[in-house]
Amino acid sequence: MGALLGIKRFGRTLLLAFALLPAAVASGYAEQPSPQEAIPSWVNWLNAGLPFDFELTGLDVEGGYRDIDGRRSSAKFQEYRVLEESPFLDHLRLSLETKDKRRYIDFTAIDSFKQDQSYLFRVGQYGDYDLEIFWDQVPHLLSTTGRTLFSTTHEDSTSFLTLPAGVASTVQGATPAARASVLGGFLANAAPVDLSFLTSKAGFRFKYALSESLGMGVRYTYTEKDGTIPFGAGFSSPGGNIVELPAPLFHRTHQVEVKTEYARPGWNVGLGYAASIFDQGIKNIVFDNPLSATNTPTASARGRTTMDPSNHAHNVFLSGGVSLPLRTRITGKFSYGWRFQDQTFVSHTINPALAANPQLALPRRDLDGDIRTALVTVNATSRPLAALPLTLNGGYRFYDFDNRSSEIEFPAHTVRDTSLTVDTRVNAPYSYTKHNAHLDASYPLLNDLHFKLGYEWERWDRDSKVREVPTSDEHFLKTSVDYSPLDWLLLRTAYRRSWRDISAYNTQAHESHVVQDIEGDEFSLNLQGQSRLLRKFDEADRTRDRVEILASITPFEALNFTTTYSLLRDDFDHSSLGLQESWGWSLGGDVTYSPFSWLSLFVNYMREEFKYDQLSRSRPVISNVSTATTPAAGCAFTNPTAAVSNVVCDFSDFNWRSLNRDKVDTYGVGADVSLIPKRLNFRLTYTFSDADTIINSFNPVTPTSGTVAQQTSAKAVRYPLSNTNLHTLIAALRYNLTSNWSLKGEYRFEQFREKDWSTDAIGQSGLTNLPPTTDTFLGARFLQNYDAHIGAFTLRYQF
Amino acid sequence: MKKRDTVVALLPLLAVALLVGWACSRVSSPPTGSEAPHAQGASAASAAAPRPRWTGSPPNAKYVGSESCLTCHEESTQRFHKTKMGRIMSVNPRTVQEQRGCESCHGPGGPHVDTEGGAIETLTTFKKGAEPVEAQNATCVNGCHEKGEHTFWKGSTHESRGVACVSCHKVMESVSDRSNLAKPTAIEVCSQCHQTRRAQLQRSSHMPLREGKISCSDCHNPHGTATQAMLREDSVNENCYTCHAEKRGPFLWEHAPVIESCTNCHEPHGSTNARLLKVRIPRLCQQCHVETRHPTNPYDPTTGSRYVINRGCINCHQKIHGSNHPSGFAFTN
Repeated sequence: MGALLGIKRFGRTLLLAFALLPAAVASGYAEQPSPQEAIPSWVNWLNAGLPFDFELTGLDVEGGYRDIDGRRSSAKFQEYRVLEESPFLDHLRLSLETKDKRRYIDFTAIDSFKQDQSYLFRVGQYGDYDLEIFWDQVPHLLSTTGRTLFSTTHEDSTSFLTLPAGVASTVQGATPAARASVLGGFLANAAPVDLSFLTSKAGFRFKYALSESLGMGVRYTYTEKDGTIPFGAGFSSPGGNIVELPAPLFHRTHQVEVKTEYARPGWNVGLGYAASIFDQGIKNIVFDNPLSATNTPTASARGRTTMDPSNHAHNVFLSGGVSLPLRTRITGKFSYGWRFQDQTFVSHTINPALAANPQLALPRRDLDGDIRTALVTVNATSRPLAALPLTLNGGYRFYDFDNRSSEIEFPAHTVRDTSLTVDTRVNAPYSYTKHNAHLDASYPLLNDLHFKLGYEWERWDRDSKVREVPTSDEHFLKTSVDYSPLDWLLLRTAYRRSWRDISAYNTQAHESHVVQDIEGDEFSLNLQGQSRLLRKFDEADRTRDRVEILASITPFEALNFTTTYSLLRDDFDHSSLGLQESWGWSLGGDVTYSPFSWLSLFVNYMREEFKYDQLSRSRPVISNVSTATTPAAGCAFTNPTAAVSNVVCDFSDFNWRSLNRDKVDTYGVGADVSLIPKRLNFRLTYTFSDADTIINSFNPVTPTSGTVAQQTSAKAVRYPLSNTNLHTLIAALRYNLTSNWSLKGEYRFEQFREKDWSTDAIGQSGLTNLPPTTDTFLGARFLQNYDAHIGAFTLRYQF
Repeated sequence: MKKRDTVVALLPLLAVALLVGWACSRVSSPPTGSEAPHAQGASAASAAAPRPRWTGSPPNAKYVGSESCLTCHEESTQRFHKTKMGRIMSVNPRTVQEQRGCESCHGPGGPHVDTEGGAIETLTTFKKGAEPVEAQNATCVNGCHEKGEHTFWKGSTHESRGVACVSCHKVMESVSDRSNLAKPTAIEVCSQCHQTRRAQLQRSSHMPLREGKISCSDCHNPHGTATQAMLREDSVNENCYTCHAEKRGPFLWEHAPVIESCTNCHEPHGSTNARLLKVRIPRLCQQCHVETRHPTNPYDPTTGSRYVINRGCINCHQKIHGSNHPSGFAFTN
């Protein structure tokens, strides 16, 4: 241990020494002339021996040692990257060309030998063909605090997550009141689990110009994701226990695209085929129930869940453009796609006490999933009159999503392996069609003042059996002004207002299709389904305003100031419940100033706010009430003809409103300084991002109806503030030792701070500041504070 | 009201910036670069002279060949020849336009050479304010860059708003690894105008753009496409499926808003909420779910309710993008 500390201390001292070296050396070399570009003599020697007439034309390699200090166990620190206290190869770029400069070979390696490495190899002949072969890895670290009792084994395409022997039986044997603490006792000894996955991509691209007019290209990409992710599962109906699993993730995707294009002056046409094959490596997950070691019709020792099914998609497309008289160009695309999915269904339940029930027999082996998509789009741009600089642009777009998958009637189902419910449910293959059309006219009112006015129309035709709104039409009026009266000034403004009108809103469309028989009649459905007052925001009547402004001022070449403002406001003025209004706006600016050739400075700032105002209603249900009793005012039996029925209550004073607001400030400042021209450069950047999420929920009127328990459930409160902020400071000094060699010392400081009410106190048994529950969590914090001081020294060679 | 105040307060700032810009433009000297408009080494007096109005090449202007350009523009020509386009034009020109080298883009150099560096107004220089953007872009597009990725340029958002090719691309030297971008990365290029997107990259929930693993152009084709927002694929979802093919289905139990657009719930450019969600769970789900029982309760998170802590609704409804389990209609398995 002592030796390890000694090595670390030595490493840090060495790093500091190297970091200071450039400054020390700089003073000595300050008077020397700046380095000149030169081909090193060893390259000439090497080139003499390279085969196929190739010669090395460029080499850029940089590597060094990195040291890190601080609290950095947070997953956010290394979310998509690998930073270690170790030697590292930052990049390697190698370029070769034949002596006649017709052919080339390039090789690039970035972050080699680490899990975020990428490699690219290119070979080709300028203007004729180009072949790229690539391999790239992206880690995704989700959490470093996850712990679990489950251990994982695999058999065929099923993963088994099992608990240590005796856990479930002991918990089951405890009294109901003691179960949580008994389970909590086991969970306290849960082992750490790595919640991360690695995405690896490999493939090639090949482009070949068969002739001056004809070209073709092929692309293939293989993607593999491998790791462990948090996965929500559980037993019984809502209110039953949650079992958060460390689910194994392993799947592969093959993507192929082949296309060819023929182009002549004035017109071009392209034809292609693309396929994507998704191959799920883990189809099912079987997991133990921490609360039950036995199987009964109301409890299950094991649960089974499915991962996303394997599927494949194919697409053919034809696109092109043609230039016509009157300065007109027409472009278009037609594509037709197929998506298939026929993975064999698992049975409804793994619980042997339920599985034998004949009503759970599967009507079909698989979905026979089949979706067809079609796209037709045509655009025309014209300036019909030579004397009048009026430009017209119009187009039509048709996108059809036709879901031809089987509609399957399931006479019964199980609720997460713990109970059987007999009511017929039918899946709802959903189809829609979307039409867009637009016509814009733009005209230069003055030489530097361009004005554009346009109209756009968007129609959604949705399957009325599934979605609430069969047809909606949205009409847009849009205008923009681009003004550049002077070389140093550019103003761009755009405003768009749209109105979406819907044909009808059938609240129960989805339920009435899927749920064929819920307590016998439509009456109960209306009561227990969605509130009739709800209007879903993606379908509802809406008025939308969008504003965009950009001003760019460049009084002289060394100074630029660009500011942008954008606003997006949605008003759902006919929605009694649901989203009422949303606002999103941003305002910011960017200043870059390069007063001298050796100095450039920049400052930027952006303020963003997003507000969502939603109105909802707490709607309690009392189960199994005798219909001989009289329900309270505002409540009704869902099945009044039965002896026992559920009672649904709909109290207007149970409304609650939530103003959800995200407020973000982002700052950036930096400088590039050439301390000694072409010899010593200093770069400093600092960025700071501060984001607050505020959920301010309240009841417009105090809930007084119903029971005290119902009132308590209906009571809305302001949520604790959530905040994240990230400081990043990077200071880098690069010293060019010679024309080819340079040294760099870099210091990077990152500080991440967060407050998050949902996971800050999460443990394996729920929130750690509250008594344990019978739920089993991973205790995975996705956000965690970190501070990292990262020092790096690199040596670079390039020519 | 507060927001309105903020906006009102910032408007004078914009006015001041405009004023300062105007004032600076009055007192500053015009742009100078390594190569002044006329020729290298042009005097300060000639550089300060007002730029003649662009006329375009006269009808009978002659092409003089790239060798003539080398006389005065050797340094920039050398840099250009190291680019991919420079290599094609110099070693393997496939078309008449490519054979013209410098004059393929800048127009016939006859008048410029005949006047020993004058007649600058006859050339297309791609300098800001020198020629109309339409004329600059037409030089790039017509005959050379109007197929493939550029098929839908005409009528695209960027074209119709007068964005110049040279706003994003630097042709005369290689600044980026590919595509002759004006800055080293696509993010830096795009954020010149799309500043909000750059800020969004700093969010706690983001795709690996700032780590350099993906780029704006992986999803968008800035030259225009057949899909809104210049998305590369035929719909928003098909764009997302290129990386998230597992979400494609079709599933036995579909979640209709998911099928229509991932952006109903997600903000792909970065969010303060986990998993790039537009609104924090459970409020996001509660915008549409006003059924009876648990979806409609507002919940107090300090009580540790399993409906809101940890991953909220997803604690149980893990398969929210769709389920293929026969009993998965509630997206719980």
